[in-house]
Amino acid sequence: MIALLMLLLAVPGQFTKKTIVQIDTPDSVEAHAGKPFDVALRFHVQDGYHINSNKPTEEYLIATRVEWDAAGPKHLTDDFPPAELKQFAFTNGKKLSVFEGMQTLKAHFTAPASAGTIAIDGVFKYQACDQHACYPPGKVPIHVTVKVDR
Amino acid sequence: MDESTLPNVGEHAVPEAPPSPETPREAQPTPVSTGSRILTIGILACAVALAVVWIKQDSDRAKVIKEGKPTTSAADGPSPIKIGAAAPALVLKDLDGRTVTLADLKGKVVMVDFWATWCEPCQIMIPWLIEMHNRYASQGLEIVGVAMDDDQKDVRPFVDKAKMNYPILYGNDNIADSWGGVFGLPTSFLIDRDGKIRATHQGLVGKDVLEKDIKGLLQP
Repeated sequence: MIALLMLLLAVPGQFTKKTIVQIDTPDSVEAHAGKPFDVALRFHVQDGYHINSNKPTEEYLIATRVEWDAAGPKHLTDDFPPAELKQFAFTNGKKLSVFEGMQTLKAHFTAPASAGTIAIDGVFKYQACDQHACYPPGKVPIHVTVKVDR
Repeated sequence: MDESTLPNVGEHAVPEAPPSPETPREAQPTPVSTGSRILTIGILACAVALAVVWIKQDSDRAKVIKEGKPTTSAADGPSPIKIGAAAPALVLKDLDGRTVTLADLKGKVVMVDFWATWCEPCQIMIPWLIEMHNRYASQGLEIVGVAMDDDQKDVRPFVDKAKMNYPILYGNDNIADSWGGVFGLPTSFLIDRDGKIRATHQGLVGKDVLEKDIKGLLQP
């Protein structure tokens, strides 16, 4: 029955807002007080779609990025996976910098000076296209629990 | 769609009851197991029918890309708007704050093009629309671009840079909904002189396809 429902949802031509990117975050991350730590976010772009990379080839394209909540630990940088330069049916031979399939983004933070459990919240923002058309910018909330010891 | 998933729909959705020690496997099925089987067969049949429809649509779409043919049928379009139906109302502000309505354009052939500055395939289509505006406006063609950007301030600089010579209106989710839920861009609707939808295209189609549709409607 679940598979049948999935089939129903997957039938094309249903132009409701699509869930094109799914994010897999670790249940919790361990860190040492005052020390840097990483969070690996695995994101999956649905088959048949691509999203712009964090550095699109055209200035008018919307880059993939993560907005981290300032209330969490100090954010240092995000290491995005290598993008693929690829041409599509609609690009007239031009190559675009995109992400497809399963990818991993590594976010770097510094743990607070005191021990305890903290939360990291953020929003993964992207804009997706398929071979024919492009879809409105999308966002996926991120929540990770961090256990900080001394 | 992985076709191998199809048999699993029935197998996992409605598992058969395990054989009872008192009931030999060869025994006549009980009314309950018959019902389960009918349900299983029904679900399986639905799944297969859906898969066939989907595969057919996918195949047609792939053919469209390869051959550059139009996606003019209502089934391929983005919305429940039917070919031949009256075009929905369109009342939006242009870049200078003036209200533009579709009703004002009655008697003309109108192409309504939903687009956005961040949409790469829309960038391919814009020069074609500029060219068609230049070529056919005198024969009664009006092209109207509906910009679906969330941030309206991005639109004017883009329009100026691209030298878009036809009216651009600021779109919104409500207008997208009233036009059948336009989410994939570009999406265009071609409307005849009587205000009826004559073609829809979701996604980029060939310039020749658009021009053929327009010329067909401009002819007396």
